[in-house]
Formats: sequence, C-alpha cells, structure tokens
Amino acid sequence: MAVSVLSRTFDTGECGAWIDGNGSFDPESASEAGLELNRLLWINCRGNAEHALKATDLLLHGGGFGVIVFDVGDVAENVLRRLSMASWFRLRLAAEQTGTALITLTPSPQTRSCAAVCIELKRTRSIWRGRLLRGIASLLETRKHANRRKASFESVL
Amino acid sequence: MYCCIYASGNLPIILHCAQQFSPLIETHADMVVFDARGLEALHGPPECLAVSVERAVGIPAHIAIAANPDAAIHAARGFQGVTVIKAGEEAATLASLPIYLLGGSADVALSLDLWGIRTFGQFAALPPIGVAARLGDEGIHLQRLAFGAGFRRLRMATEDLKFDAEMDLDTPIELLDSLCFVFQRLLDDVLARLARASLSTNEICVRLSLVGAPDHLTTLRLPVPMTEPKDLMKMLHLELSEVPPSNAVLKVYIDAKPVEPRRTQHGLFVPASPEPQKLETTLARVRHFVGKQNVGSPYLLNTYRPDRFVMHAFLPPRFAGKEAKNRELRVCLRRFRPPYDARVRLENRRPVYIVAPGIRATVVNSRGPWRMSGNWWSEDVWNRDRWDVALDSGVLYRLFQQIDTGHWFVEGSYD
Repeated sequence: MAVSVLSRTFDTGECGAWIDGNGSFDPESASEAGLELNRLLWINCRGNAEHALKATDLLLHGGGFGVIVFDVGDVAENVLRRLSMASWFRLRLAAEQTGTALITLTPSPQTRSCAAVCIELKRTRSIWRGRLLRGIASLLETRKHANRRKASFESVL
Repeated sequence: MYCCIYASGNLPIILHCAQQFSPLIETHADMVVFDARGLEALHGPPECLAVSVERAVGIPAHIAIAANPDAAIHAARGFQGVTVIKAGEEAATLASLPIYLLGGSADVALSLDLWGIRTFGQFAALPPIGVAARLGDEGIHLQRLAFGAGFRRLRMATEDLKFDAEMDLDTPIELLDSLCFVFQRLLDDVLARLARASLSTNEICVRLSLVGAPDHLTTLRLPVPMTEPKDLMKMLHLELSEVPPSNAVLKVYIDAKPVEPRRTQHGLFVPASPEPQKLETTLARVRHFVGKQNVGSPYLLNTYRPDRFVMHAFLPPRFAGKEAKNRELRVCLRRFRPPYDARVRLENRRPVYIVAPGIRATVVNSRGPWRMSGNWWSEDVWNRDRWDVALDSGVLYRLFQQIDTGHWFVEGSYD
C-alpha cells in the first residue's frame, strides 16, 4: 500500500524516500508495482531502528520530499518500544513544517497521538487461481478516530 | 573594453592580479589582457578601473585600457604607466608608437623599413589599396592594428586554470576538528577563485602530509556541482572522520576539479523537490552512519537473477509532466537479506511444514516449483526452484531450493 502511495506521488512529479529499517525493500517488485525507482531515495539501515529514525529525521528536516516511508514493519517490537515518544513528536513536527507526508509502517501501533491517521491492515485470505498465487485480500480499518471505518480490498501479484 | 597589464618577468603576479578582475584572460610572455566589459558598475569609469588595477598589481607595471585587445596591448607595450584610450581615439593615441611593436613577418618589417615607415601613425596614413597590393593580407591586418581598429576575441588558455591551495603547518595537527579550520581557509580561497571563473566543482582531492607516515589521500566526489563552502566543509569533515589520517598532519593540499555550474530553470508549476546541494549534505550525514553503499536510488540490472540491482546516486530527473495512472494495488515482496535457512518437510514432493528463524508452521497451500537458472556459462551460476506457500498463520512466503545443494531458503514474505 505504501508503494502505491509513493507511485501516485511520483505521478505528480514529486520525489519520495524509503527508510528501510531492516533492509527488506524489494526494488524489483516495487518496480513491477509501477514505482519509478529513479525518483526514490532508498536508505537501507540494516536492522538498526535508531539509524532509521535518525535518517528519517534528517530527511524530514531537509524538506523537498513528497512522501517519506519509515519502514520498521519487521523490526522487533521491543526495539520499537525503546524509541521515545519525543522522537515521534519530533518527526510529526518536522513533517508538519516541511509539508512532507510521513508514512510509518510498524507491526503494532507505536506513534499513538503523533499520527494524524492510524490504519490497521489485516490479511484475510490469499487468492489462488490455477497454478498461480494471484494476490492477497486484506481488510483495512482506521483505528484512531471515533467513527472507525472499514474497507476490504485485493492486491494482485 | 579591455585592459592590458605589462610587466617584464612578472607574469605570475600580473596573472593573479588579472584573475581578481575577470575570468576571461589572455596570457602572453610578459603581459596579460583581460576582458573589462561590465566592470564599470564595480570600479566606475576606465580611469578608476586603471587605478584599481594599478593598486592590485603592487609592482611597477604598464597598464592600458582600450576598446579592443590589440590597441590595449600596443599601448601597454609602448607607453609608460597608465594609459586610457577612449573609443575612437585609438589611431591618434597610438600614432607615435614605434612600428616594431606591430610585429608581423620579417619581409613586411623589411619593406616598411625600406619605405621609411617608423611609427604607427605613418603606417596608418598609407593608402590601404597600395598596402594591400604590396604587402597582401598581412599588410592590411597590420595597418588595421596600427590604426587601432578591428576586434577579436581573447585567446584564453583555460586548460591552465588550476584550483588548488596548500598550507604548511608550523606544528603538526592531530585533531580533525582543529584541522577543519585549515580546510575552511583553503576551501574558501579555492571556491572564491572558482566563483570568479564562473565555475563550480564536483570533485575535491585532499592530500595530507603526515608525520612519519605516507600521505593520506581523500577524494570527495559530488553528484552535482557545488560552490557552497559550508556544505562542502561539512561533507569533507564527514568524509575524513570516516577514514581519519593515521598520524599528525604537517601539510594540507586541496585541489578542486573545475566544472560548469549546474543551471536549472525553476517553474511556477514544477513540483517541489529536494534542493540538490542541501540534499547532498543531508545524505553525506546519513551515509556517515548507515554506510555509503546503503544510500541511493536502486537501479535494476538487465538480468533474471533475483535481487538484481545496483545503487546509484540519488538524482531525481526533471518532471516532464504526465497523466496520473489508475493503478491496481500490487503485492510486493518483503525480502529477507540474506535469505533465511529453512528446513522443509515434503510430501508428494510438495512442502508441507517449514521451520526457519521466526517461522514454524504448516503449509496450507503451495504453488510451484518454478525453475529459475542463469549464468550457467560462468562461475556466477544460479539454479533454484521457487515456491509460493501459504502457512496456517495466514502469512505468504516465497521459498526456494538450491538445485545443486538441495538446501531450502525463505526468500521473503508477500506484503
């Protein structure tokens, strides 16, 4: 979903950055999903969440990016819990000041009140057709607001 | 308007002086001519410019300012001190100069001597048709010079431009922070010279002479030309702190490679993008703690090998404007680097149970195998069977089995 947001951003001529906490970004599948790789800055932090946070902070303060994805989706939760609340507030403030959209991918809610929107994505089923895996059906749910919304969608391989 | 400085045997001094006024300089054996057009705003009328040049030279020199380079050269060689020739008065001013200053071939010089021509004025007074008939094209050209007329472009020796600076230290410096003050001074000097020449740099070489050790060499390469001393200083500091000199530093030498500056036309409706110079400084800081090879823009290689990419410097292309596409959401792979070692139980040659770091589950659905191989003609061969599997936990993984060893690996998870 973050790749899709980046692709839409690149369509408008803006640039984006992927701060990869665990080095798991796959340029090949991202390119097949329509992402223009030459507009993407990829920072591979090789499992160091502190470095990922620092890099995100530096890029956000530098400004000029349309979207920055802070991907710590496969970093252990106990490591993420060590990131202080002040760090999230700092990122939020920088994002507000520079007009950059910051997407944070975490295995569980971490940003709490610092996020404008909190979305939970659940995989509901995998889609198989014939001898091929065709995609994944997912359920999307907004978690932060009182009027919670749900939507289901399918992403194809 | 052109200014000529003539000082016998002092070319380096007058060249350095000319570089303070203009990047367009023509160099001769004992003199330099520089383009002084547009300097009125800074120095006032030609007389004031001549005074400024005289003050900047600092040694006895003959200075001439004229509307064309040749008139300035002849005046500087022929008259003592400062000479300012107003436009249209070249012939009258140069008339008294001796004819040998014109140069030309030995035949022409002999002919003029035989005719009794001793000064520029006498040569200029000769009928042009007669000169052309007797002396040919060279005669016409020389007569035009004697008249103080004609115009030509300066013949600049740009290949000799070198932007370097060095400093010998009285006492060796060990701390990098202290060394930065020296770098700052040298960089300021080099970048100021680059700016005067309307140039920029994308490569700075630093050579540090160490006490009792070989020289320490560092090269700072930039993806975009830059001239901002503060940014370059920061990047140099980061570069040297990654690989610091092994011993105290005795001498510092900096050499900047001159390149054309980056010129971009901003538009009202062009989307905002990171400012290249500022971004480069930010990325230098990021590289400092995540490593150089981990920052950049991925570029896919033309091969079917999995995880096929190289990192290039991040330089977003200019936006040409295009229609937004309606794309469907695509599944992406979250790749494990390196792939997890796995133990897989097979039934009917299909995986049914997987054990890998953080994974211990039953396979509920699987598709494969998809044979992938390549580079069989070299040592860099790959040969594997790929599987897509769904576990009872609901997670989808991509597995592969090395054909030659039979080992299983988890390549990544579908996200």
